[in-house]
Amino acid sequence: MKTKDKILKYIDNSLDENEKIQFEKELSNSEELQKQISNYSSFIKDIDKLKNVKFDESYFAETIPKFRSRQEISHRFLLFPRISLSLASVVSVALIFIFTVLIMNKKDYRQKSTSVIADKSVTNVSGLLDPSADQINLGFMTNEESAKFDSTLNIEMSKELDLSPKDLSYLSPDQSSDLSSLLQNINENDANDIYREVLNQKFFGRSSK
Amino acid sequence: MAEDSNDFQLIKDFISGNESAFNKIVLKYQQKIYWHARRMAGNHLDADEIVQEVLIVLYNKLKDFQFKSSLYTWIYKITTTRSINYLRKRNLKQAFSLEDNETKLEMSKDDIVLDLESKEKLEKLENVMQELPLRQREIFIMRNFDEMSYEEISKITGKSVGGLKANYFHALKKIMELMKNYEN
Repeated sequence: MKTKDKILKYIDNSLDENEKIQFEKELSNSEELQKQISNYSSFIKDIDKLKNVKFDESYFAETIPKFRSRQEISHRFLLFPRISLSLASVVSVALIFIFTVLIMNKKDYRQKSTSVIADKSVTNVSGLLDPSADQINLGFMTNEESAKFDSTLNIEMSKELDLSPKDLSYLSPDQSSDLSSLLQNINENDANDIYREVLNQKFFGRSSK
Repeated sequence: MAEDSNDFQLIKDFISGNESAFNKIVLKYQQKIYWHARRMAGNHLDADEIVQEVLIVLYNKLKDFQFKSSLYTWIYKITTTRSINYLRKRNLKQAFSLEDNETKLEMSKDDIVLDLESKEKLEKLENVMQELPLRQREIFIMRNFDEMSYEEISKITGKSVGGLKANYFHALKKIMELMKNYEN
């Protein structure tokens, strides 16, 4: 063991009994060793003196109030992000809910519309297009709708046949005869003329007159 | 033993919601916490900051205290850990030059030590101790200032007695040399 280590252990009282007796013998015979021991001992004493320095005790009266005020601030500081986080979560959940409801409603609306159209096409449109039916089935229409439909049909027919107002008077609603009675008054030649005229107008865009 | 039972009662009171019990614990140990932190940090301002950090940890963890050691040993352990963490952060700040010489000057102005001669000596020793590695500094303080046995230090640090002795002798030798250089 080095002398310096022995000195330190001796000062620290870490040598065992035999080592201590042997070191003390060395110490009594060596002035250099005694000097070194004295230096270390005085250093340790100096440190001892610094253990009990005079200090301002009023400083310690501030420790608890300072801690409490810091604690309050940190609570507030922690509370703000917590509230923000909670609000953000609630808003996010609400938004997700609203979007889900909207999407579901849209889907539902589309399904309903499709089914309504499907129903209509089955019940009404199929009846209209039935080739075996003698007459166009307009039974599902109200009187107003029927009148509107008639007037639109008249206008379209007059355009198509290029009818004069006189001709048109046949189709005017103030005439007591309806479409079927008008058709009954037309002979075969007139009907052929009308048919040819319609074909010419429709497919060749010209009048045979 | 009587002190331990008193501490036990204070902790029990605190857990049951008595805030003044915590104040009593602080009043009892605050000086020990401060001086240990001060010796570790080397100045009053940092020690003041460490004390507050220790109190926060103490307040939050006191309900988990299991009486495996005395309250003082437990508080001492917390103080040591907080001091080491604080000093690591401080060293990092200094490395990135976030603290300048003016901050150091202000630190030396603000002090609770009244006697000028003692203040000078203390500052000298504190400066020298800052040159020691953290673990050696910690053991030097425990051994010299808090007069702990190696067994007690071992309980706090979790290091073997042999290792602690070796560390302490290294620290003592180094401080003696540094003090000589400082005086010259």
